[in-house]
Order: sequence, then structure tokens, then C-alpha cells
Amino acid sequence: MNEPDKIKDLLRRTYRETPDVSGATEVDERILSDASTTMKQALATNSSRQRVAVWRTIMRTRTARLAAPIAAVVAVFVITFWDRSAGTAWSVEQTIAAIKELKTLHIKGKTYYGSDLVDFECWIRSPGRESDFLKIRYQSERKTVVVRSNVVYEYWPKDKLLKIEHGPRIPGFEFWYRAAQLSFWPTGQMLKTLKLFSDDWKQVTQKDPNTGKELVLVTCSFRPSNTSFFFVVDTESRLIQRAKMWKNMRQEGEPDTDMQTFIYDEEVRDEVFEFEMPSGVTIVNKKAIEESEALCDKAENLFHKEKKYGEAIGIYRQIYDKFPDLNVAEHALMMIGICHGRLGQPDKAIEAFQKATSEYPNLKGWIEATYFYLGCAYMDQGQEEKALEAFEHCLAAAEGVRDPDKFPVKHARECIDRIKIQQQR
Amino acid sequence: VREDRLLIRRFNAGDTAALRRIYNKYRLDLLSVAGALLNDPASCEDVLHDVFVGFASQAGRFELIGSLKGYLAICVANRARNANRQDRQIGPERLIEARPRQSGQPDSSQAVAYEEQRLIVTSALAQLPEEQRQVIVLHVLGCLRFRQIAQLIGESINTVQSRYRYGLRKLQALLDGKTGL
Repeated sequence: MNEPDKIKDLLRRTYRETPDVSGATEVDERILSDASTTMKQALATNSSRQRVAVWRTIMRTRTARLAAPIAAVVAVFVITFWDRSAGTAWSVEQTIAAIKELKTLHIKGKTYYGSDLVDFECWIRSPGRESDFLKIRYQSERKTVVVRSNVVYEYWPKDKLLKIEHGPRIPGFEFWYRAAQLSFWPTGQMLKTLKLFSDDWKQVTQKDPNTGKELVLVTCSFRPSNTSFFFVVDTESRLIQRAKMWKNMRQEGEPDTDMQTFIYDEEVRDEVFEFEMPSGVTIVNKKAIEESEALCDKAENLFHKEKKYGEAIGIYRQIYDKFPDLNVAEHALMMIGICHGRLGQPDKAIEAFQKATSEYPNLKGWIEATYFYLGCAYMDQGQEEKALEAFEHCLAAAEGVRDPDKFPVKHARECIDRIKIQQQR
Repeated sequence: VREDRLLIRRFNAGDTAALRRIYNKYRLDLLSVAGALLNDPASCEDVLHDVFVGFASQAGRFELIGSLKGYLAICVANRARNANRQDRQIGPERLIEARPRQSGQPDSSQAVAYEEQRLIVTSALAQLPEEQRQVIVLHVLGCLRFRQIAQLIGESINTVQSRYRYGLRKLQALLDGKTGL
């Protein structure tokens, strides 16, 4: 035995081969008792908070724009199974048995991408007998997403940008992976989890006037994400026939995602779930994210500590130009506007804020502050009507996402009141 | 690893039996890591208590990345480091007075010999720089690979290996002739 090995052996003998390797002691019982109590308390507090937090995270991230339709599609896939539980003789075991029978789902429909309504298709293959891991392909003219177990490929054909990510680390997707890890995807545990999503699940049964078939119409919503759903379920097959998702609480206006056709157990070729690397593609990788974060730190330092707003604008501009599809881009545009404001350039500030609100209109959790600052910039210029409009936008975008008693909602409300009082005078 | 993943699932679902199993499975390893890292060995069980209570507070949302043992070992190492920082006055000389707070220890010559050896080795370990000591203990007693340690403490693998090498060399010099090496 050489000298280092002798040292290692001595350490092991000294600390591991203790002569009192006794069973459970009073100390162990005390530790376990305290840990068990803490565990129960944690579960009690986490259970209600977690679902809110997860959805809030989903809807606040930039990825939400990608994740929302896919999440809706996957939710429909699973709620389909949940609906099988609607009958009085339902049991989780029945549902799990039914899940095993169903292998694939193919959905066709329309979804909003920014202000444009585009067609999409989505294929899902559950990890059953024929698939050892979850596979999803979501495709529209604007974006393709391929999920293969923990690897997610997001591809923007117009910009030829590709992001390859570890699924469970994508904010908008983490829930789905976590749920899949909790139990075999999707199982009774998943159904129970999904059941928690809805605040106001309502269902009515009625006959289809054309076919005479009995249908169940389901509506539900979830406040923290400001999202509501509508499903049409065929009671005979107990499968969903159509589904819609709105980014408001009461199924108002045009749905953001309209899933018009559901095809079950279609033969789906394996190639559908493959991702072929397009030629000339730019890969947005982790390094890019790290680079953007480093630039952000630099810009924040210039802004907050050194007060060098001109230089900060240059860095924020770099962030926006180099990483338009990362979370930081909208923030960078907003900060450019604020910097111009500090430099006494309200026109340029307004221009930057407008650019942010027009390019990232659905970025809930981010865009409200930009609307607020836009309103302030208009107020500084004495354009009260436009300021009022911006503050109203701030309130609308913040509904269900931001705390009404905190920035920017509270401040926007106060500004609106102030403008209205001035107008009355 | 598979068992750990199952245990974590059950733990996240609120199964106290899973928590007990995790505790019993890693208790001795973690105690040995704590014992080797703490300047005051009497705090071993306090550190273990804090680590497990902290771990339990994550029930329902704990995500296992890497090995559970590695995660718990690094938690113990961090707690031990904090405890050492809080009580910097405790040096090697105090170790002679300190006794591990372990119940049911047999009063035998074997136990006395063990205790003497432990004091000498602990005293030598305490003279190493904190970083070297941590790497040696996590690698030898925590059975973590250098790569895992590097990830957990946020250093490069080369740095970790260097710390291990230098630490071991110094430990060897400190223990030379004292423990029958």
C-alpha cells in the first residue's frame, strides 16, 4: 500500500469504522422527528403555493409564448384521460388502464403568434410500450419544437435560430417534466395534479343538434396564469373532440389557441419526432445565455452604480441586437427607454418603449413595467391621453399576473387618477 | 441511484418512511464527513440535525440532480464550515478536551484506542486549509468523485485535484509516525 492509500485507509478507519455502530438512538429519533415535522409543514405550505408559483413562472417567462400552446395541448392530452374519470364509476386504475391503450395524439388547429394567427400541428407519443420516453413535435410556420425526453429543440425557421435545451430547466416546461418524474407519464398522479389546475371547473351535458350524440362541454380557468379553457368531450369515446384556450379568465374574444381536430392513435412515423438540423442554422446555446447575462451585469452596473446612461444604452443595444429571442431582450429595450429618459431624450425613450411593447406584446410579467414607463414618458411630454392609454395597457397586462398593490399596477392606477383629476379641472 | 430516485419521489409525496430510510442509509457516512470536518466534533449530530431538517423543508419540491449522498455530504460540509467559522477559537488544542457526543459507546480499551487515534487524526485534519480538508473528506469519506466535488463547490476539477494532492501530502507529514503509518 503506498503512502496516500495508507492515509485514506487511516481516515476511513478513524471516521467510518466507529466502534459504536448502534441502531437508532435518542438523537436519531429526535432528528427524524424534527425532520418529519418540518417535512409535513413544508408539504402543507408548498402544495397550495407550488401550483400558483409554477404557473406564474410559466406565464412570466419568455418561453411562455412557446410553452403556452404546447402546455395547453399536453394538458388537453392528459385532461382527456381525466375526463374519463367524469363518470360515477370512475377509478384511477380504470384511467391508467385506458391510458395504456392510447398511444398517440395528433392535434391540428390555430394559434396566435404575436398578433398573427397561424396554423399548427402537434403530435404526442406517451412513453408507453412503443416509446421509452415522452415525445412531442409542435410545428407552425413560425416555430418548431421537438421534445425528446429531456432534450428540447426549439427552432425559428424565419431567423434560422435553434435552441437546444435541457427540458426540465426550461422555465415554461419544468412543470411537465416534474410531473412526468413524479409518476409514469401520464398517470393517475398526473391527473390529480392537473385537477388542481382549475379554479372553476364546470361541465354540462348536451346533445349535438346535428348528430344527436351526447357531448360534455367543459370550461375551466386558472387565475395566476390568466388562462381559461373550453373542451368538448364525446361521452361515448370519452375523448376530447375540440378544445380552446384563452389568455383571459372568461373565455372572452378569440381564443389564443384553438385545437380544432383531435386524432387518436394515429400511426405516427418515428421520423416525426426526430429533429433534423437545418442547414445554416445559428444555435443559441448556453454560452449565449451566459454572454447575455454578463452583458446585462455590465449594463446594470453602468446604469445603477456609475450612472453612465449613454454607455449603458450601448450595452443594452448590444443585448437586444445579439439576443433578440432571449428573456433579456425586452428588458434591454425597456432599459434603453429609461436611459434615454434619464438623458432628457423623451422622444427616444418613447420610441424604445413602443418598440418593446410592439415586439413583445404578450410577454406577461415583463411588459407591464414597460407600459408604465411609456405612460410616464408621455406624461413628461404632456400627452395625457396617450399616457392614460399606456397606463390602462399596464393594468390590463398586469391582471392576474402582478400584485395589484405593488409596482407597477399601484403606480399606474395612481397616475390614472392624477390625470383624470387634472382633466376634470 | 435508482433507489434514491424512488426514495425522493416518495419523500416528495410526504412519505416519512422514505425520509427515515434516507436518514438511516446515509447517517453514518454523513456523521463521518461531519466528524472529520468539524473543529468541534461534539457538533456532529447538531450538523446532521440541521442538514436533515433543511432537507425535509424541501419536501414536495426537491429535485435530485446527481447523487443524493453527494448532495447531503456537501450540505454537511457547508454546515461544518459555517460552524467552524462561527467558533474560530476552537483550535486543535481544544480537540483534546472535546468528546464526540455518542450514546452507548462501550467503555473498552478498543474504544479508548479508537478515541486516541481519532483525536490525532482530527487534530491533523484541522491544521489543513479549509479547502484542502473539505476535498479530502468529501472524496475519501463522502466517496464523491472529483468531478462531483468540483460541480458541487463550483471549482474546476484541476483545482479540486490539486487541493486533494497537496492536502494529502501535508496530512501525511503531520501524521508521520503518530498513528503507525
